[in-house]
Amino acid sequence: MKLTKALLEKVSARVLADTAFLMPEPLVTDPPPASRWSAIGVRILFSGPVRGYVEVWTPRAIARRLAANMLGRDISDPDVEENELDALMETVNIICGNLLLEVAGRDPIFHLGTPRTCRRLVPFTQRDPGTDVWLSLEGEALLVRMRVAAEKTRAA
Amino acid sequence: MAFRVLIVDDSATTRKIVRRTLELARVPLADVGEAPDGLAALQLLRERRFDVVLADINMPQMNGMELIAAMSRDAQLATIPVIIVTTEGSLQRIHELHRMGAQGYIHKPFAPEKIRDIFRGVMGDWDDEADEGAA
Repeated sequence: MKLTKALLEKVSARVLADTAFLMPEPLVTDPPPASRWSAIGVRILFSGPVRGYVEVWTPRAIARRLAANMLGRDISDPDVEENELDALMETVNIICGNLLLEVAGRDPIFHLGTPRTCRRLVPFTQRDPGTDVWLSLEGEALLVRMRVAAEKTRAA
Repeated sequence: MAFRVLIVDDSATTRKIVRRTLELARVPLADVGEAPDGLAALQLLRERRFDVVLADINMPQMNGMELIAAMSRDAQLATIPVIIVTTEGSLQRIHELHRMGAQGYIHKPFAPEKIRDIFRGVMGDWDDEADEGAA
């Protein structure tokens, strides 16, 4: 199966529903401009038969909602604020693992790295292509992006 | 019967989520320990008694597979069942984990019912009513 926007959207929505009881919708308005969007981003690298990364970007308020729902706490709980970045990292980790299963099937072994925060949102280009999908969650935008880089060579 | 469970994951949030899911699954818990990696888990396993270990695969210092290998080399720890909780889902990886001695495998995301079924499969059945009565 090939990575498509529809697949990225389906897997992301399923993971958000299953982990945090959040039901995102496709974003119907224009995505916020990267330069003015106050969002935090996390990235996880993967390697195996192919390598690449998955990123999730969203405003802090949604990361906090994710943490609250994942932990089963009220959003005002101080523990929630402390865990918001970690909750976003766990989300990108689960989305990545599930995407790879959908894209590559159950045969290949992939190694997933440790999720890290991203410094800035770099748009995909023709030379640096990737797939991204914008979702809407509680009135805010959430961006999920996947980049599959070159296939590993079979040399030596 | 209530279980002493050690949760091993480098994410503090994930450890809390696993713990909460165990509670939602109504797994009777006597004690829950947490460790951020395999090395810390080994140390805790030598200090406290646990009935089962729930471990991630990808962790710094010592990953979940290295933890299983280290536990299997230690006569005191070799009999403690390990359940792997991970986003990785390749069949080859699952077979490898079982071959190394992992007794259960939980793929993320997981629902309380799923964690309960796998926990029951590894640890055996328990009497819900007796545990509720005791609580």
